[in-house]
Amino acid sequence: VFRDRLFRAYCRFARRGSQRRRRYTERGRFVQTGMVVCGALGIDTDLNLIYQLFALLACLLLGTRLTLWLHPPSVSLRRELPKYVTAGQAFDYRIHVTNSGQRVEADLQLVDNPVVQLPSRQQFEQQTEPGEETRNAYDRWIGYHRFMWLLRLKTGITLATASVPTLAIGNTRAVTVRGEPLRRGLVQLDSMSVLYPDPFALYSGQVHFPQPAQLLVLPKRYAVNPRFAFPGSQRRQPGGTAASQATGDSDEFVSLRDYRQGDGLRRIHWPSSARRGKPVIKEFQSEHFARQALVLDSTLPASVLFEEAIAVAASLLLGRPTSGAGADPMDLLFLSNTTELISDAGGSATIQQLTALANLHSSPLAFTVLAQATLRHASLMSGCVLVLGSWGADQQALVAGLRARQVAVLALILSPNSQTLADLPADCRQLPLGQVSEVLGSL
Amino acid sequence: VNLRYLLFITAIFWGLQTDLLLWAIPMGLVLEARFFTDRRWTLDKQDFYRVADLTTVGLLGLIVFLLVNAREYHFITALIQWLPIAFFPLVTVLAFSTTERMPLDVLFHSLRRQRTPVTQSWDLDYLFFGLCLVGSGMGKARLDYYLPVVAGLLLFALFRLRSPRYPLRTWLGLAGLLLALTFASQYGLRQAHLGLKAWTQAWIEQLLQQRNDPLRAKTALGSVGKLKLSDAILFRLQMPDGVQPPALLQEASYDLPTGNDWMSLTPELTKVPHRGDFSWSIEEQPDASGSLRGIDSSAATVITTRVYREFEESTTLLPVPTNITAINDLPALDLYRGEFGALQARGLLPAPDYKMSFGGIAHLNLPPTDTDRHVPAALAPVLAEVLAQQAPIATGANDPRKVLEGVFRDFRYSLQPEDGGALPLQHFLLNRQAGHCEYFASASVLLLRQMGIPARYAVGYAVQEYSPMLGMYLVRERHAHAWALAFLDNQWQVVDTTPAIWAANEADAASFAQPLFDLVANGLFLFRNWWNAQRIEDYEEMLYLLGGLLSLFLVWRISRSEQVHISQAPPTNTTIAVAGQDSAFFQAIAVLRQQGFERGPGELPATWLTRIGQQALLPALMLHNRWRFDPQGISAAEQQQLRALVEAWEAQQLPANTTADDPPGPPA
Repeated sequence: VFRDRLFRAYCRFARRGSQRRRRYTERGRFVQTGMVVCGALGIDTDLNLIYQLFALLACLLLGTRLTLWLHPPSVSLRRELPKYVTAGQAFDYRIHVTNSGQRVEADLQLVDNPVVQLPSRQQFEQQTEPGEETRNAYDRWIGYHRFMWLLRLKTGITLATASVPTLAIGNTRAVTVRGEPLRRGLVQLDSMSVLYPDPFALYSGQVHFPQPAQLLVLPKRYAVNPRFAFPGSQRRQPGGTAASQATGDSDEFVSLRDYRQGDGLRRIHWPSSARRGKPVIKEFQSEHFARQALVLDSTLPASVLFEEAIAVAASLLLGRPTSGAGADPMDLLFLSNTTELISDAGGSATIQQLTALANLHSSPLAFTVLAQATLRHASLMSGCVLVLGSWGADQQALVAGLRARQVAVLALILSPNSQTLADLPADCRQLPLGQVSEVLGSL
Repeated sequence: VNLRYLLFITAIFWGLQTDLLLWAIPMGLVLEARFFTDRRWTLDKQDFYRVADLTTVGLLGLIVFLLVNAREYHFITALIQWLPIAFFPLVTVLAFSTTERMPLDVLFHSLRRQRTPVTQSWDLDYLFFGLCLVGSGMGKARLDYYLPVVAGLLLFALFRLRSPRYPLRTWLGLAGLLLALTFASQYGLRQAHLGLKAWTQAWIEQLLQQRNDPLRAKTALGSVGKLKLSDAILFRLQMPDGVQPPALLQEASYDLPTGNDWMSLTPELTKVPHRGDFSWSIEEQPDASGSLRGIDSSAATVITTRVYREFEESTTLLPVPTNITAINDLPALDLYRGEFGALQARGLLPAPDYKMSFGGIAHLNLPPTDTDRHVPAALAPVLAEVLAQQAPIATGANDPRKVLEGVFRDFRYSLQPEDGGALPLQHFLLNRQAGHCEYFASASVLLLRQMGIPARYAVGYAVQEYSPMLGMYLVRERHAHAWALAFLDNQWQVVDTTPAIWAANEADAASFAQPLFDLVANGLFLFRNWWNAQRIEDYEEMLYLLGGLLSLFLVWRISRSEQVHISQAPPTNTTIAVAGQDSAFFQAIAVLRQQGFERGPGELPATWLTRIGQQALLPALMLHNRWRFDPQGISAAEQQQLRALVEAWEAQQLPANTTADDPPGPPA
């Protein structure tokens, strides 16, 4: 019953908390704390003079609170969000602020409000915050930190407060806001708030500008060893079946596209980049390629392991070379409610694949469905990367089946702890949680 | 920078208000000094942790010191007043380090274990500022300038931080308005408190009649519910070796029964003349005519005992033996005595103990008056009936003690009062035959009076518990006792009819954990006695040594840290100093520009000079390039040479320039 009450209190606090916290500036909180302390110390006016200080601080807080109506800002806002962002990577975006009033607007602050997603009671009970074991017994019992962690994770993004430069009448300035997505999937933004101080800068008044928007957050990614040769490339299998399919790509220029993280510097088209003010990449047509498949075991239950599996898959999709040998198309095969295959035949489906991973939920289907689908498509593959969450009989059978069909295999097996799996074949690698980054970096 | 000068002024104000000016001046100077030096120490987290731990230890030490010396210092007041001193090391170290704000994990130990780095931080200067403001208000002095000064300091700090959003006049107007409001409201607060205090005082006085009233004693006669007196130790009595303590210490006696209470009708208290500072002699007794006559106590042996008692109120009655002769070392302003044996000390100050001497005849209570023979009409028949029952048995009727012994022979001692109706004493004497000391004492007084003997009701304490641990007698609150005084053989004599079992009975009612509480209380008492006996002078050398060692350690630690000049810290806007900015070659280029020669984009200076036919400048260009781009630069002599080359070239150019009608123009 106590935990239940606590949880509901946290929820109430979370709904209004952030806006209420913004109401005071740091200085205002200091003055407020001072007032409370002075109120306690000065309760006996015979004993000391603190009641005079209390009166001063109380009048200061009360008086300045009333002055907030003096000069509320009149501005209009327009948000400019990026198309995609990556979980765990901070990004900047711009909000254009226009002074639409008859006075110069100075000393304003801008903050974007995500839609607060409350965790469910069940999540509060079951999920544990990373590093919770290092907290003290009281904190663990109260669960405040866990709740706040869940709240941040569910809401999915933290957005910094940005200062607005002084705006002359009718002037528009762009303000750069820094955000950090905390998880993959869609993040909802609700409104923007403009904060303005009172003359003593103890309080912040708030003007809200409802402007719903949403942001697609791609899965978290790790750096993959750039020298890693994906299975099925000619280097790994000289004289094998795969070699006849992949004999390299021609430098037939096809198009220009925006820079994506991981693109080689050599492929930047400098004249276009200079003209457009951002890096632009030359794309070449691959005429001969080894076709690879990335198979993700999405039947894992929703957990840290599942999230890590998606992160590994996303890392591999973007981590392979984008030019030269090994820059081969990679199809993505996974289960949602049905079997899904996102083909990369044109070499430009990566963003669709990442979008699919961003929105992926744990599949109710069995692993054997995925295994059958993989074997069905084996004839198209020269190499196959499997991202698995366990190493059972089904998984071993799938690897054996692929080998029998002359497909080069790399199985990456995520494990919740670093306990070594017994008799792992050479083409299978274990990725213990917490060491994923190291293993992928040294493949 | 915002608190420049302000922190110094605040510290001085705090020092003035708290009489800690000798601390405040160096503290203010040290904090202000940072604005006059650009030297800063690059301290890391561990250094801050150490200083914070030192501050914590200092703070704990301060708290322990204040708790132990609770008599001399008002705990909260002194603590708050001294807080700036406790936080000074931390504030100073931060001020002279390259860190601007104190991360919260430095201040709060619990945050140090946290995995995610702590992002919140405090500006300790403002904390110090606030501590000084609060500390300076903790004094008792009602100074009229406290509020104006504090308001001035605070508004000055806020003025420097005001929002540029509002014009200055708005700010000033608002500040003035707030000040007026503040003065009005603080006056209102004070008046409201005074009013409330007067009201509650009157209310409490009505509710409680306290024991320290020499004119009225409230008894629990007739009240219902178990009486439970506290086991707390009220005072301790140290007797000379082998001397028995007085059995009873009297606080006051009363002559007039009123309902269930006892009163005395003579309100005058006379001042006992001082014999010296904090000492009084009580060897005189006013006689019936009112003039004092001396008591010859020279024949009697006078015993001096030391009483350890912490007075909780400034005015209280002293429990003393009735043959008291002198009181010494009592930390009171004045001592008053009443006609009924009450000694009242006024203006008591906290001090650990005082001495009292006693011996000879009991003289504290004045001779009897008519009131001492008065029997309330309502009780007279009951008393007569009780005595009539005894008359045949008590053969030695001339000894009233024997009579009373007979009356109370079958009575029991009980702490469980019973509803006795309108006349609890009648119920006690006739029906219940059980009660506590107040019943026995009241009944005895009235029975004595009924027999024609002047009698009074006396209250005080029984001394009956010896503590081997301390070698002292302990008097607890539950040792409070009441008894009768009878005027027999021309002097007041104690007639205590309460069954002797009462003390054991009360002791049985004590909590089973009492020995433990006593152990703690007595241990604290012994420690305080020891502590009070200590003098700082005895430890002076040791303290100097310790302080010196600590300072040396701190100086050594800090001097080992890396130092930087903040002016040399890498500037945030990266203007890179380029060598050869003042090269004379630039003059030559300016001259060429004036002549209309522009270097093409991407054109090397040497190519350019060749193209426009100024090969004469090539040696100068060589030196110029070396100056600008050679990491080792060029020597002063070579710089001189460069200047000479350029000047020579300019001298050549000038006449050519003036004569040439059509100088070679720039490329199209």
